[in-house]
Amino acid sequence: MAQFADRAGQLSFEGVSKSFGGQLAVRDLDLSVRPGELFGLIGPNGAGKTTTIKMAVGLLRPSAGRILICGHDVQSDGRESRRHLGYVPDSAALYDRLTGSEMLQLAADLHGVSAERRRRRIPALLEGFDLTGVQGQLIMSYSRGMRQKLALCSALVHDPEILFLDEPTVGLDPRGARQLKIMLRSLCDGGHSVFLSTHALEIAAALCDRIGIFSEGRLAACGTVAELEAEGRRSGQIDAGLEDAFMAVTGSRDHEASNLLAALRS
Amino acid sequence: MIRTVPNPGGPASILPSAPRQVAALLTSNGRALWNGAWNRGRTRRVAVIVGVVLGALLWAAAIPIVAVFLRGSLHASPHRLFTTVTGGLVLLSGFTLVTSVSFAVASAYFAKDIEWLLTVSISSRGTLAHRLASQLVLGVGVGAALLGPVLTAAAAVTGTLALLPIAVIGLVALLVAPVAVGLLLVVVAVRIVPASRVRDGAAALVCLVGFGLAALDIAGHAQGQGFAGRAGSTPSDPAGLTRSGFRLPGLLGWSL
Repeated sequence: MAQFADRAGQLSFEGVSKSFGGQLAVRDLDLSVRPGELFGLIGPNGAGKTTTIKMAVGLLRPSAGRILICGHDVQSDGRESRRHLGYVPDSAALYDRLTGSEMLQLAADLHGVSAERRRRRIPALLEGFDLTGVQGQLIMSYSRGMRQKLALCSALVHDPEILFLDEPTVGLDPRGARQLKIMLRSLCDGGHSVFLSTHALEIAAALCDRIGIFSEGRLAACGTVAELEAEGRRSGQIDAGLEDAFMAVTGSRDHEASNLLAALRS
Repeated sequence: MIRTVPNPGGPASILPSAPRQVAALLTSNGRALWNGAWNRGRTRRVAVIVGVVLGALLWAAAIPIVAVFLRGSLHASPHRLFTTVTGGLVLLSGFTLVTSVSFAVASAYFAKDIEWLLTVSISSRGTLAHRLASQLVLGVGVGAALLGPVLTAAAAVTGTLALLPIAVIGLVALLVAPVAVGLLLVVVAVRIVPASRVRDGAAALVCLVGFGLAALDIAGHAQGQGFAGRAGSTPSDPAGLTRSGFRLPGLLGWSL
């Protein structure tokens, strides 16, 4: 692992693989995310994006390799590594019978956020996500978008250095999605890192400093949007955008759509 | 919009001790219980008040009824009274043992919040301690509701009401062991087989024990004995069960 010693990443995957019953879900992943970087993971369904995030936050144990968060091994030093991260899954589990502000107080209690700091932090988060008006209502009355925003707030309450988001824009209205984008950019400008997975290529293209394209458990391509588009052009696409690069890397399924259309017509 | 500041020195927090985290979780559970009962609108509030008052009345009314039964038992045989009360306590313990396995599976591996808890800086021991404590509170609640009238009536009949607090402590202590054993069984089992199999296995085991005991009971009845093993005793008599040759399965069956 000596080749990784010079990397000053807040997040490092070092030769990480994960298999489920002999089926490789992620294979030989080497990746480092730098401080202040917004990294996006895109790929088709079942490519291994969520598995990768779950390994990084300690929910799944890698079959091989190791993952470091701010220098702490996620497996051997899990509690310390988790101090430095915030995680928002695609459908966050919240305590339905708590109010929004009680949920954030609980998150702050568990993370040991001081009383003085939470007095400033929690109202700022609630205001930033337009939740001030509903903070006293039970979470069970929240819409999906509001729940997603609250999950983001609870992941940010302890000011983590790296934030993991799995499909963060699912359920958010355009206004919420825009707020999220501005907030993520602001976080990265402040030196935090963000690692997100998304199906929305336009969000990845507009937001991410670097993008990794996952295909069949492998990081098939990785780079800035410009680099990936250049890759797409090299593979024969003229005026290639990120979508073309994505198709070139993951393999176009256009013929499947044609077959489906033909079947429907018949 | 949210303002952030560069934070090179690490997160702006000092990790609390596991007991403080467990206390925070239990406090939240209590708050959620209160919110669910009291802060969900007027209709809900009225329903909760009616339910609690009705439950308390039934609970209190059960005490003299049970006392009459126990006085009869005491008159017949002093030994029988203690056997009945002890049998009741052991049944509760058995109930807790069996249900604690399924509760432990549900609360430690399939609860919706477990993913969130596993990604915050709470130790595994803290998470398990929280699950253990919440199961214990549930067990004590069930015990208080089911056995409270029996214990109170027994104390009144034998003139030992002053010793009731000790009986309560004994009841809590009685529940700690099966809850801990149930949780431990699950933790050990999921190290060997996947959690989903443990869940299915626990459900299958509970069904198997239930149906198995029912089959044995029917077979016993056909021979005029049932579980009691003696004439005149029925399977609905826990005191009879504790004296029978089917003591352990009988208790489990009762607990189901």
